[in-house]
Amino acid sequence: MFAHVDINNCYVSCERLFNPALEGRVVVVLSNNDGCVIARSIEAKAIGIKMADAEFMVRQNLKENNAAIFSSNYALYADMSARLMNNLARYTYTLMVYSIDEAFMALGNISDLDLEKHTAAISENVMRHTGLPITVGVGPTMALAKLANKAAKKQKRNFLVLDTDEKVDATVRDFPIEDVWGVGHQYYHKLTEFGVKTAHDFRELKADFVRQHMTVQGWRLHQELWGKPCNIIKDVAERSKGIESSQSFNSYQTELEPLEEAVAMHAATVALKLRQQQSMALTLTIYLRTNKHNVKHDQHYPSITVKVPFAANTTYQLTRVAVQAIRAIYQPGYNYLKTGVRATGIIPAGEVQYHMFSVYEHSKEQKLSELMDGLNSRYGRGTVRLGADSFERKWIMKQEFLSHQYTTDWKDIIVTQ
Amino acid sequence: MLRLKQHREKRDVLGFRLPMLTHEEPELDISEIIVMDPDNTFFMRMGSDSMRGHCILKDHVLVIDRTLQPVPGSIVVFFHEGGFYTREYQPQGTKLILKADEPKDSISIENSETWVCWGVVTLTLNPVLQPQHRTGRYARVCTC
Repeated sequence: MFAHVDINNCYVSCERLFNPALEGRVVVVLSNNDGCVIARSIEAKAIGIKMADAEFMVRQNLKENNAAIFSSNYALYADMSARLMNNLARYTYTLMVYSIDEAFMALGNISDLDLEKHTAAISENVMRHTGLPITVGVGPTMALAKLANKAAKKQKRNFLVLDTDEKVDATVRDFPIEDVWGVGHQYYHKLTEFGVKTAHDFRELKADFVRQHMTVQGWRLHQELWGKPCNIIKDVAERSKGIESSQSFNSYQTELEPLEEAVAMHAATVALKLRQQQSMALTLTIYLRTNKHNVKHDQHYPSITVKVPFAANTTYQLTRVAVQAIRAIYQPGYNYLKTGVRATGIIPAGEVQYHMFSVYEHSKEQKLSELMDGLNSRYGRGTVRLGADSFERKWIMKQEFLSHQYTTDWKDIIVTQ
Repeated sequence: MLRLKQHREKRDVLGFRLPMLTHEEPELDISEIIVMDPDNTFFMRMGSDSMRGHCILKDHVLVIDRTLQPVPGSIVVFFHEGGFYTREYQPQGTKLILKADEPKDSISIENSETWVCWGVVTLTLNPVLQPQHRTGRYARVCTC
């Protein structure tokens, strides 16, 4: 049996935990640069705020409803997410963290009698201990567990266990096909053409027919909905194939210097992420963007992909490559709004090919990076950085409504009366 | 999240095998007895003197564990009418008294009223370092 767990309105719930007065109020969390809505409370959904609505479009509506607005506080959300995942890991040997607010658990062969109780205990304990509301769906396959989770939410329950064929049948009967895990726009349109409206209709299709029209992915989903597991829980997160760090500026940048600083910061972030997953990058892509929505400006989207001399993950190496690259693509006269650094060609750190005639001299840089990581993890991100990455950061993103770092900064802990 | 103490580096002794090396144990780490469940422990700061009688003064750091259920006498942090409070948990029949030193600071919760128990305080830290010592890295001792 598998369980799928997710945090209800994750970002909003994190904000509410440290400010319970927000309970029952319209709450929204904005994306980087306070651009658009990326999380909504139930109350916000009820007044018609949509996902990814631009902030200035809904400003009036939010004001009229006395909404609480927050900038993304990723330090807080990441910490709360880690706490939740560690709590879940206590109930299973295999936990697959699927995203910041979602995880799959393998529940093994707990007898059906105890499954309901066990799930209830997970749901209740984790909610009380972390303070975050969660929903748990349990089913014989990962697709059914995810389906159970969604069905539970619709029924306003904290958990739903699909442990018998009857329960599965009853739940898939009127479960809309577009809400099934893995059914995207394309499949949805195709399936509508076949007259498939619910998960039940989809199950009734012949396996061969599904295989023929929907490739192996669709066939696997079909099998999973019949309770035959095709997906397995991967205990270890896969090495990402691309790592990117990018951000919009708070105002247009026309000079090279702030762009260099921003690129240096992104390169350092990419290098840190590479080191964290013990891999190295062979190539870096550095790009610049102007604002495509502003028709009055000339548009320029230069991008360059450069080979790193040897596969590297040190802040020094990647920053040097990135800053050189930005000098190559920068052209004066444009109003740049965004820049980013993407690492591709990612290989495990142990499998680096060095040049036949070169001597490996990177250990100094490696040590420097380790030292920087050590200091930064102890005293906070960005305490030590290269000179290329400035300390002023005038271009840093807009975060007007940022809440406190309740769990990661001593200065921000809550004061009680 | 709680940062575990970084262990001191153990130096090798040249040319001589110390007999006690086979009997080494991990050294004492204060976080072991301060935080039982790091994943569910939070920190807050006392902002008033209403719990002076319980030896909790202003600016003490509170260690709060969410896994514990309050029992009579527990010091709890809770949310009530817009603010966080730290009081002694004293259920009395249908009523719940959240007791402070002075009766005027105590909060009484009737059956129907809502209150949110945020966590149980397991320990408070009392910074006693003198101001003239609070320089350099010692400025960080229990400062928030």
